[in-house]
Amino acid sequence: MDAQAVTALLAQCRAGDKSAWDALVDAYWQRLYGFAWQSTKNRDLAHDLVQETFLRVVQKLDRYDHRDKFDAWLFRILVNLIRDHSRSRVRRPVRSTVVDTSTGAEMTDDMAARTGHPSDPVDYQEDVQRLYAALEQLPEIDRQVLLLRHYGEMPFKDIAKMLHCPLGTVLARAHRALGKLRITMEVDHEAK
Amino acid sequence: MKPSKLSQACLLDVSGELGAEASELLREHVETYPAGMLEYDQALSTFKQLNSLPPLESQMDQVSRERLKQQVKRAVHRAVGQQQKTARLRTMRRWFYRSMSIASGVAAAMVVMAGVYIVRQHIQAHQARVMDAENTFQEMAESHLPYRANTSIRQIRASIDRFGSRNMFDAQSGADSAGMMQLFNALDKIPVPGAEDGLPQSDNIQ
Repeated sequence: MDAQAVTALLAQCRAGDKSAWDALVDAYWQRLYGFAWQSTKNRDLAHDLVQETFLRVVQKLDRYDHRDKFDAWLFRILVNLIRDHSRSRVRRPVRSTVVDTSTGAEMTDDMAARTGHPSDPVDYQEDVQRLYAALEQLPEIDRQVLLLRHYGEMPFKDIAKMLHCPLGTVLARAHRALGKLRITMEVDHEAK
Repeated sequence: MKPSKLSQACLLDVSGELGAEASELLREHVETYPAGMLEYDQALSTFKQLNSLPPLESQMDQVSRERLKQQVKRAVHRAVGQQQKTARLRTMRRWFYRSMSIASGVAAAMVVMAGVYIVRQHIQAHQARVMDAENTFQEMAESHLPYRANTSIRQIRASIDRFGSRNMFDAQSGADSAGMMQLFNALDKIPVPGAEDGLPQSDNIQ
């Protein structure tokens, strides 16, 4: 969605047009949910966080500065919510879940790692699981950059704006994270 | 080109965020330097690996996605409705307070005006009573003065005295008036019967 369309949509939302809010949810839900799910590894929690993100947008839309990019503002809200939740999770651990794509049933991470998808090649499934595991080992800020790029579909330039840091820093973090991922994957392959 | 800048440029290029001109320059550079080509290949392969992460569509079926999205929409509708209700209430409250303050102002002004009117009426009534009292007192005082009848006699006498003194001046200046002066003196010396003993004067005594 281009900037003009987003601006027009937000103006309608400000006027209280519920169909405009629906359009906004349709436009951004999937990206937000994908990022939240991969960040939290918990389907229900991701849903709650995304819903809370949209509710914050409803509350704070009047304070949104149009000079900022809306995507960046939206993801910043979600990232802050995830960070707040991570802090509270230290005090109260939550069992993370993933969804089996064949049945739609939720499983724990360990179960998911052990279970292969019957319709997918085994090697691919194992690679994906190793990739997830390697992502988990990354520092949070590095993992965040990669997930925002992949699931949030945000360009590095917008990620830099969102995280309030220079583009070079974001690219350096992404490069470092990708390097670690590559090394982890290579070590796993050799071990196999 | 510094290695750190090269790796960043490679990352931008493989993610499709580098402009066409810059991308062309980068390709020329990495083709010239083998180390640059290695860096580019590594960035490309790792980025492809990242892109191999399954998208949400493959991890969650359409029905589930739609269901979750609808839940979010319902929550947003509720929040928007609540926000509109709150805004309406706020507007109504603002109008209520505004109209109440206007009404209070008008009432206060009316009370002040009524107060001023009453005080002014009171002062005017008081002044009228004072003036009436003064007039009444003056009339009563004049009507009850003692020896009112003798007052006119005394006034006539005083007039004669003034006339006498003026004619005395004229008599001193003229020799012909000497006789008149003597006449007056003689008149003065004549005792008035009844003035000393208080008896009424009668015409036949002279």
